[in-house]
Amino acid sequence: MPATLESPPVKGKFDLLDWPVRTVENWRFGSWKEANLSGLEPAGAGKSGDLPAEVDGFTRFVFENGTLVSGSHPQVSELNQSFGPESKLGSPKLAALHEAQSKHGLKISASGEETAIEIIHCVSGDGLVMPSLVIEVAAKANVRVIERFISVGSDATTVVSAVDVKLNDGAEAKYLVTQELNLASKLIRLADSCLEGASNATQAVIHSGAKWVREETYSTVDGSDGKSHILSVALPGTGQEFDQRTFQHHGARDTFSDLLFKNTLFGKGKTIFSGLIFVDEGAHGTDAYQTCRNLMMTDECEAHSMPGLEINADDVKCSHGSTSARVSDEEIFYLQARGIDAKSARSLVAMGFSIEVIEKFDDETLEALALDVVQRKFESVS
Amino acid sequence: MNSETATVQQVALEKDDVGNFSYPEKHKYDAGYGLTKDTIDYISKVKDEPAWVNEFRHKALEVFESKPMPTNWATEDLDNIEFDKIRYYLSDGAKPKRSWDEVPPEVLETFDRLGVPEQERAFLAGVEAQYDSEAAYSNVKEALAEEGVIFVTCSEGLKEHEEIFRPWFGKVIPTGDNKFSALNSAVMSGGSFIYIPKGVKVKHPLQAYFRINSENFGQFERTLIIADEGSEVMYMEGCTAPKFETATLHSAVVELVAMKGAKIQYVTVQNWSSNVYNLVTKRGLAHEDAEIRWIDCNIGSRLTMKYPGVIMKGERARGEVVSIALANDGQHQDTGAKMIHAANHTTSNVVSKSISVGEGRSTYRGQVHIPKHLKGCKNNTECDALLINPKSRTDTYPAISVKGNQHVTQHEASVSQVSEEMLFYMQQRGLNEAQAMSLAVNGFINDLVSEFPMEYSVELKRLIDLEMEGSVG
Amino acid sequence: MSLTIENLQASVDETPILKGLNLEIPAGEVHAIMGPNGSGKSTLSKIIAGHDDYEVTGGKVLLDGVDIAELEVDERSRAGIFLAFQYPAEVPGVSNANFLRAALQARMPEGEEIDAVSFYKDLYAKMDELEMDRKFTSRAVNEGFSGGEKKRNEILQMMMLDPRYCLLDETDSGLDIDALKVVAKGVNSMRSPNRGFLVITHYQRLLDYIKPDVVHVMSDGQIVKTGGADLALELESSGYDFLKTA
Repeated sequence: MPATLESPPVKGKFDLLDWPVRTVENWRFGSWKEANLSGLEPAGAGKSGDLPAEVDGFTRFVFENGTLVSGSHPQVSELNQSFGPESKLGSPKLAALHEAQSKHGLKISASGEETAIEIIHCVSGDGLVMPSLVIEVAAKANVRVIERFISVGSDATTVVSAVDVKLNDGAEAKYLVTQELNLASKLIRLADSCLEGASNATQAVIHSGAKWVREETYSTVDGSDGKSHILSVALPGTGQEFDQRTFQHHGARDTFSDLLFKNTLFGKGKTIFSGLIFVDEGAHGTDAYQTCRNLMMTDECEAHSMPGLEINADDVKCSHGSTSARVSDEEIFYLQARGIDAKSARSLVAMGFSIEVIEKFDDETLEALALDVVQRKFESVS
Repeated sequence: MNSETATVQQVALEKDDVGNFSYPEKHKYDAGYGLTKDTIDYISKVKDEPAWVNEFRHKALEVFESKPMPTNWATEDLDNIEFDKIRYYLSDGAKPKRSWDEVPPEVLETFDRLGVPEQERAFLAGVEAQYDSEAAYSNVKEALAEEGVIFVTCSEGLKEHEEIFRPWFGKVIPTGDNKFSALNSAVMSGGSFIYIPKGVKVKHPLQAYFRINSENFGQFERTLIIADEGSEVMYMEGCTAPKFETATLHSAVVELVAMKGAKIQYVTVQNWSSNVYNLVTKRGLAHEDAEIRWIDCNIGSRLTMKYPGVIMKGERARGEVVSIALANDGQHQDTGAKMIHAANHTTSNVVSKSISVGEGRSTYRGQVHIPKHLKGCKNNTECDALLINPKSRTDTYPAISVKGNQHVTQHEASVSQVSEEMLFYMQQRGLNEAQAMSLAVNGFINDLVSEFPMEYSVELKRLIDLEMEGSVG
Repeated sequence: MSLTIENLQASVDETPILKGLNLEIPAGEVHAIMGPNGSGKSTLSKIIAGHDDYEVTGGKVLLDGVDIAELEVDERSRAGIFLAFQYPAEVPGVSNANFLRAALQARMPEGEEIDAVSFYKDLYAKMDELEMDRKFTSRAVNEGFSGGEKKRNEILQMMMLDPRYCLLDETDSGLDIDALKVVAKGVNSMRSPNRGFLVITHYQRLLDYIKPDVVHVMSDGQIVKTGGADLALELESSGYDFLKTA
């Protein structure tokens, strides 16, 4: 074909899509302007920082921005492009951005009994860092994954992370994310998971740092007797807003999902939780639960909860609940009566509130790690 | 065969379907099809309205035309409303009769069949009976009138009691609140204006009955109830329409104002035929120590969108929504509640139960709002959905916003069905499956039915039994 | 006149539960079925009542000579079969009084209404007999009831519905001795030449208070031994071990 007849480059998905706007239902109460990343360039080369202590039994991979600086495991391979995440919860533009620009990440193809991987993202620079993570668990295999986001220095880095988890029949996965970015940075996390057959997944996030987090967790249970557990502990303080949207999709008979999100709000911290349990037509025998609880620590914090249900099958057991309250005076009184001062008592009760989620991991190593992140946050705010 | 059947067009009269009949139209005034500025001027002229009302209507029309359909969150069935195929005003004259004897015979027959005069004699303190666009009858017991209770149509209210009416009119629900409140504000006709003077406690309920008789018609009544300090009133509304081939639109606006320490209970039994779009905006303003309760039951209509609200403006004000919805084949009951806390120590409570039968869909949408710098606010919300058949559908979409640590909110929702075990148990005692199902459904809503006045709760149970027939087997 | 079970075979999810069971309960007699857990005792009562979890693959159930295979659960009930459940279901929001009225109404000929005054008179008399509080009538069926209250309620319903054949499924479980005596008194008061009883129990204790005419031992979906009241005592002392060696 003669060069002169070459058609102009086809406009990519990214160019055709719009940045989020206020009127989109999935951005209700949310800071949609924060999601407008136009003009941001990739952050470039990263810096090395102080790494947290090694976790027993886990193989560590370390990224400095887009570069893998250490780590290898027979079941892990490097990705040099995005797997192409889809946002079904309001951010197709961000998903397209990731698809177009992500050039690093890992793929874990777990096939053994005891695969345990820890990934640390050290991010820095005033730009975009866009990692991918694919976790595929073979039938009957078992995997544990830790993914940590840490700022090196005080740059305002914007992390757009996309995750795809797939479990085959009889597989089991535990996946913990801890986010301890600095208060200038943002995290956008698009996390999809799909459970085939009678598999069992627990995914948990601990949000401690960042100025703004937008997290979209889409869990599909497509196989009978599949069980999806979705957990979150969020601890926003002044200058922090965590916007979490979740979708529990039941696509087959006799499926189970249980979501528990607990927010402890300090200072002028703000949370938005929007969750939907969606039961397909014909997905009879579904058990689905969803709970969002807000513990309000100050008079200036702000919590928005939108727990939703869409049920298109009968013979289901579904419920959701959402509460907001402060630490009860009776509890404080009880602890004071045992000699603990009011401030410590309040913090003790609040810790207990988060620990209730952490205990659901049912894994000592992951629990200890999560607890450490939570404890450090409590120390910093009190 | 009696003489009545000769004049009544029996539109596929079904067993026990009390509302499904209509009379030939004999309207003196007909604004014709479609909605333009001329329609509004026509309505104002027939009603001989003051200039400010006409102006209010014109502004509202502009707002209506400028607002998009809320289909970004609401059902797309809204797009099927054909606004230019609706007649916006049909009446025999704007002045209601004070005595049933003066009401035209077919109108009297209509309300007789619906039992309205009989109920008035039995237990009501006052009645308004609206037939298409205007009230045919409106009367309040003399003793109440002597105490200063005003119960007239909205048109009479704005003309004859402007000094009480106007300060609150459109203040609880501004014209631009939503597309349909704007529509109502443009073409409103009928509905009630009620004023209860300070300290007067009206013992018996006041009732309004809304009847649609004509096809391709929209009913847009407007109600304003003001309960002055320390007063109490219960208002009940019922409604029916014949089942025409084409869709009918009903879009009301109801504003309640409860002054300090007053109490208003607003009871609705909505039984529109299954071709009616019922898009209603209802909100109350509760001052200090006042209480507003919406007691709402939706059984009829094709699509109902209604989220009664309470703005708790004064300290210790209380708001409540008690709601029952039953959605059968071809129906979508999209209901809910809005609780806006705007003062300290305000309390709101929402209890909603829905039943989806056949391919029916019921939806709960809720909003609870507790803004900054308040203390001691409480909200409790419970919504329970019961699914009867495999294709029944239910959705729940609440939104709860809380600022500060001085409040307690709690939201719980569940979805369940009548368990096989329960049905087997009841059948083992000799009830057939339909009876057992009906009993289980009545049990599910029993605690809410008891919130309705006795006369209504009996009717309610009967209506629900009717809907449950044929849902099993 | 009898409730007769002939070579009954039934299965759930293709697993056979009853494997050719024969039993005849003549009106006027009390029969007890005993047997170890998993022998199919409770299943038998549900199959007689017509529960659709179980597929009858052979044999028949005759109520006074009439095969009831084609009858629905409620039709069997109205024909005179009463099952006192081991675990009665809760019916939230429906009061005991309304429930009983509905059940009695279902037995009335078309167009006839039960008389409220005589209904309550009858109900209260029977509640007194079972030492039940009057407040009970307005509580929802079985909701929040203790184990003992549920069992009393089952017996009350049995007394009110006046059945021809009563199946009592593990009625003694969850009862203390005082409640057991009250329940037994209720059952004994209903013994009559026109009525038959099938008492299903794991323990002999209940049979101290409701004296059976015949005792059957059930094992693996069949009646393996039949005897008089003494058989129950024998089982109490020596247990079901003989089944293994037999």
